[in-house]
Amino acid sequence: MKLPIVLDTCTILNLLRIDEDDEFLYKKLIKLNINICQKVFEEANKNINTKHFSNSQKKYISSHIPYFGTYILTCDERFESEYKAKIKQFCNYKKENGEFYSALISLYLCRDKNCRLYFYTDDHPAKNIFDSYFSYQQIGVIGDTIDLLVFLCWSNSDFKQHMLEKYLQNLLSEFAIPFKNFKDQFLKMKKEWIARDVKNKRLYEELNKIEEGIEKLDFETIGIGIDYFKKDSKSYKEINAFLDSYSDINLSGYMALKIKKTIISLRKHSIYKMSC
Amino acid sequence: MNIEQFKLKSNPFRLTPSIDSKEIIWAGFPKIKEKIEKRIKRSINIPNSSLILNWGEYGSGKTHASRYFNKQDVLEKLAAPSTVPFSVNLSFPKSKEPVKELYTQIIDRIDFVELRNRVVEILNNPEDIADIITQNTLIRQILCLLFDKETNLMEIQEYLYGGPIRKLSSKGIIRRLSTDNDYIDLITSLFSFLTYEKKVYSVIILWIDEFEDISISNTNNISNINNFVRSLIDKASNNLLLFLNLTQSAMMDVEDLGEYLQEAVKSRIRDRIEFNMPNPDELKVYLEDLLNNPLYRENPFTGEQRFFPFEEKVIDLVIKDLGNSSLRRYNEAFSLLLENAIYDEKETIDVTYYDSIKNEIIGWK
Repeated sequence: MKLPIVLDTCTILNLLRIDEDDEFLYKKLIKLNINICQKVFEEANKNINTKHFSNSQKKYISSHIPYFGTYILTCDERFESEYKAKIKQFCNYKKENGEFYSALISLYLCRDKNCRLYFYTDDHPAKNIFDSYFSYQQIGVIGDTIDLLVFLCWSNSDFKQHMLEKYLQNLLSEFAIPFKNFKDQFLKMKKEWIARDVKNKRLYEELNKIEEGIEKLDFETIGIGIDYFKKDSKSYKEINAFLDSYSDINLSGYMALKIKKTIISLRKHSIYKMSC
Repeated sequence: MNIEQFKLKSNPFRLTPSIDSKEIIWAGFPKIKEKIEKRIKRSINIPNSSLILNWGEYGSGKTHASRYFNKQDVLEKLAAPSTVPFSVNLSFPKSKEPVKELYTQIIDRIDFVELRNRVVEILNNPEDIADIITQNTLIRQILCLLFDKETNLMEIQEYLYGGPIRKLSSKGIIRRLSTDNDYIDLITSLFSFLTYEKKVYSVIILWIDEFEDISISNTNNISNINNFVRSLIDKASNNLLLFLNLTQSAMMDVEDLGEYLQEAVKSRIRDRIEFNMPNPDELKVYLEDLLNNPLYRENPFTGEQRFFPFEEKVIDLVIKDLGNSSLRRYNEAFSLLLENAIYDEKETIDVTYYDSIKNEIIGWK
């Protein structure tokens, strides 16, 4: 039996954005027992135009997303209304987004098929929130696109490790370049913000916190700095507008760091594949 | 109160490298300066191609070094009595077509009017040299037209940027430049032409800033950039000096670089120049040099006054409080200290004043 997997919007898009014209990753992916919720399908269609994809990526993703419509799983209505409320309460989660519905169908699918499963999402704050529910209900494991690529590599004989390294490097580039752009722009703007308000000690401190976080890839510190400005939207309109324009930056940084660590690890520890 | 009361013309602690070449000065760090100078002098006088890695933390002065050593007067002084080098600063390409981007950056930085005049003045036989350095008839023809006074320079420049070939087809230009090979061939042939027997220029110096971004490039770009560097070294093998500026970061360590460079490129690395965090002595020499540079001060201060308006004890305290930080961070702190002192109408910056605003200067660390 092929164990089911549940895919979140970001994972589908992240996999397709690094796939190539030979559809290598797509063909491997559709061999799996894929399940998605309606919301993820809608988000994927919407995000093709809102995320920063190149024209060729947009073209490729747009031509493949429609096929994911066949993987939409609808839960039993009674289950849905009852467990939507229960998951929200357990996880203290209010949004009804792709991650939320993916967690919901994961529970349903797990019980319906009587097996544990993998839910892949690159939204690591959402992963942290739903992890405890997955563990409590013994649904299975939450992974991300990096985990999915490693799985595809060892489960396909023609998916060699050097190819995995190539796809990971390309995925790294997708996340690290926006993070680098944020860093360059932030450092440029920081000087202007300080120069305009030279006596504002707290401004200097919090901007330094963000800079320190960027340099050390310490996302908690970046978050603390960002939160300070968010809490005082009146005094720091320009800084907040800048930070809003990079709202995904901690996600990008987190993914870039994890991919980088995986690439370095692969140089020392290969992925074991059983020879046929 | 303004900065002139501190006997300064402007704030010497620039937070971003200056673009105006007159404002680009070298202060302190004599060892790094000497190392780079030696490399450039060697390349001016000896036919060879070398690749030098400049490593350092963010804000350690690599970009500044590339700007300083691109100044015409600095290069002329280093070259005398030999021929001057031709030096170009490049940024690491960020587009999906890195080779084309590097090519465009190089073309952007060439003053073709000046270059043509120089070639015509120095070379009697540009066509013969073009024959020697390339067998590619298209590239040869482009070079000949670039340095032929009868050809409209604007037409050939437009062509270099992908403009129409209509007006040039009668002169033997029968197709556009389109592939990475075309761009590489043209650039390497142009460089070989200009440095032929070190006549027009003694050496081509290229500085590529932010080269650490190779570690966050996709695999196609990594391969294309390697091909560009390898081709440059192979095809312009006699007179090329390539400085790659690399910033050490959480995403890129010195050891990692090898994973992104092809063997052919790695084998050409001749030296690694470290832009380390400055130690207290280096910082003090830097500060004294900077504060008393003619750009900022007519009459230099000496002795106990050499750090004016800062008291030496303040310098020591800032160094102690900031600790192992980048030069940029020190510049930022001294700049703030200076601006605050002007604002608070201080006559000198002494320990009492520094202590009173220390938290604003050092901040969160």
